[in-house]
Amino acid sequence: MNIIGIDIGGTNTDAVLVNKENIILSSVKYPTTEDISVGFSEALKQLQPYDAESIFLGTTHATNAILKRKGLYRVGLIRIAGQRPLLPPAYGWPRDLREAVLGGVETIDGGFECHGGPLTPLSNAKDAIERLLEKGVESIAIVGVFSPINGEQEKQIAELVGQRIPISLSSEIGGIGFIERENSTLLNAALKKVMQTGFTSLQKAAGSIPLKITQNDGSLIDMARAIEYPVLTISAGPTNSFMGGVRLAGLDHAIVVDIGGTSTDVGLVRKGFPIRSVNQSHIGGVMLNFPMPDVCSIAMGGRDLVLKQLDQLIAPLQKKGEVPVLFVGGGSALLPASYFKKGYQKPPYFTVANAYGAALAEISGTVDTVVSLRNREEVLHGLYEMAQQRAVDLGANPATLRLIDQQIIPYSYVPNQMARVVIRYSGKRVNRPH
Amino acid sequence: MRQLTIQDLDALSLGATILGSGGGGDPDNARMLTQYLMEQYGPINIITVDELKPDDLVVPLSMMGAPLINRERLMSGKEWDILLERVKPTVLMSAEIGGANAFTALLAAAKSGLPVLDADMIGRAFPELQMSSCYLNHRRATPAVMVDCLGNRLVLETTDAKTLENIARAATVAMGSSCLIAFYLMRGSEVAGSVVEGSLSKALSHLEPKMLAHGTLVDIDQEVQAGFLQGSVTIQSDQGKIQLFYQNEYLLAKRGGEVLVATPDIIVLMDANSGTPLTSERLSYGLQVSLMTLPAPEIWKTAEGMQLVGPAAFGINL
Repeated sequence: MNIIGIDIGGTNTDAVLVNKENIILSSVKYPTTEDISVGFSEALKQLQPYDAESIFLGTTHATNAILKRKGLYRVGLIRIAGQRPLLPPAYGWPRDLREAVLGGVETIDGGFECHGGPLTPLSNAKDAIERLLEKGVESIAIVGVFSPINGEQEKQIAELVGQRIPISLSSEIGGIGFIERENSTLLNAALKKVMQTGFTSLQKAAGSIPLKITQNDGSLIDMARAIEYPVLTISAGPTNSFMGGVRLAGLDHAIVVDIGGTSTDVGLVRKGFPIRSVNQSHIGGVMLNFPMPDVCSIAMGGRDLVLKQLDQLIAPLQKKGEVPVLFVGGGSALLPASYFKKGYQKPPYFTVANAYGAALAEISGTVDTVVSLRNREEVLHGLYEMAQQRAVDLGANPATLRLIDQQIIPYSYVPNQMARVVIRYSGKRVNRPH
Repeated sequence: MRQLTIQDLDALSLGATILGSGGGGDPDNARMLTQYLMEQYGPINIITVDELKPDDLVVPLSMMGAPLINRERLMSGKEWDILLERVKPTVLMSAEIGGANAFTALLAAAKSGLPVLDADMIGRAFPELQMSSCYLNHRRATPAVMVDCLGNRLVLETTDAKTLENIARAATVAMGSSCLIAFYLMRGSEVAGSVVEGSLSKALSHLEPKMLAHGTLVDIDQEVQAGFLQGSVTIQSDQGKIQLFYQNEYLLAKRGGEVLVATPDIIVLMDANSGTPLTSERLSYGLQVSLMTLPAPEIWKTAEGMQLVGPAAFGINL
């Protein structure tokens, strides 16, 4: 059975039909419509006939909502932080984004210490919740100190909110790093509005074919999870282009340049995966802590692209020597033949590399927590199993799982060998041999 | 006297990380909080040692424990509010210019309006409290005051600095592995000769470390022992295979049997792609780096200095 890979970008909606051997059988490019489901349906129609078991979708819809400040919920934030942090939320955000998103802030007692014990006793959040609701917030974000180690307090507060308005829990969205995780949770809460309507309309347009969404690291989540955690999908676009590009060229290591209609992204792929920046990822001026691809972007594409600027982005990545440079995306078709020096190439189907990347998407499971590494081997083994189980729970074939990211960041200057550990496993979907 | 403004903070962050010699923690969060406070309360006054009055109470400040804790358990401000109320300094000083601690005195100075001395006690970063110019000059380390983000406070009086380090380290763990400590309090008349002068200015200046080699990080071998990130990493470089040893701070770089640079000289590892200095927590396989060095602050080049922070003090036999 075949897979349909779709990428809904700012300018175009691209679709490819891919068989079990990952060969592209057909491809379509259709202009993206205001109501994204219309372009999506048209692209699907033009791709027929297909015998597809699934549609894998990557989209910049969430990114665009943030960049345009359109269709965002007003968020009420509850900080579970008994020490009462001095730094306010959304500090350093572009002012208009902060004003669009942050509807109210309440700080209550509670939170944990790095060793898992309580920071202070948890206070009753009932009044705090009422005050936020009175301010007219439409979505709640709950962020507790060290909640990635223990999400119980956040869950308790969520129960008090009940079913009244959508809730986003930081412990289910991000890893260690309060400000970045808070930023991600705030954006998630804000994005629920547009992504709910957007994804639901796409689901309808897909009809009986199951629809899965690619997330920031290029792996798949199902629709229900994408609607609950839209912030996880924001940088799937570049990841798909980079991975699609190298697979089309049959390479493991390359610089990939994705030239779109309005913007150009440059990234480095090593061992088949885009190199990531965990601590410095950001979107629209807001710091996040997702492992997102380390992308350099120029806000120019198509015919407006200044080749000299592009050279400046490519040059530093070539320091190590001869690294092939792949050009993908619709805008790459406009590059003059003279620009292609040694090592520069356009792989076959380069204009739909992003959709192809989506079609290849795998399933990943991540653990991001703080542990004591006293019994290092035992503890790490336990975390490996946890990450693997998460991948399997999301639909990965256990036989295909492999470790794709491991970071151990120790807490210096204190005993007990405390460290932040990030483990990520990726595998093929069940029933998908390649 | 000069004024430190928000525009200076990025340069300070960069300089502090370079002088940190791989340790001291990432200054990012501290820089952000300092900026926030300066936006509320204005620029900070920086004074030199000769501007001190004899009866000034000069209070060195340091964050103690894992800098990473403060990225999750954000500081509340009670740390310095309570400390200043108890100790009543007239002048503040960051005990350590290397890493995040470059900002510690600034955090306390912003709202209080107290001046900050252009000096520190180390001239770089080192992991333990007794590794300081005040220790070399036989100053009294205590009374010392520790305050955590919840406002818990502890006053310590010990017989010597090493004992202070031991007790304070244990107390820091009980305080969730991070707290603010004031120690080596001095009268204005006692300061000259006991501190490393000009540290803030130095961190703000255009530092020019000497280039030793360019290469790629291969083979990282590290573990966390007694709270210190210990390990070695091999750099496949244009000068051959270089081994770099560290214990939070980078301590020694060797090529075969030849010592290229050793503590107390400052070792800088620059990420070639971003052009920024790497702390030892950020090391990962495949990074392209430049290995560079700056000379040790003068105080450490004496026999006593070497005894305290030379290779032997870290268990390294040359």
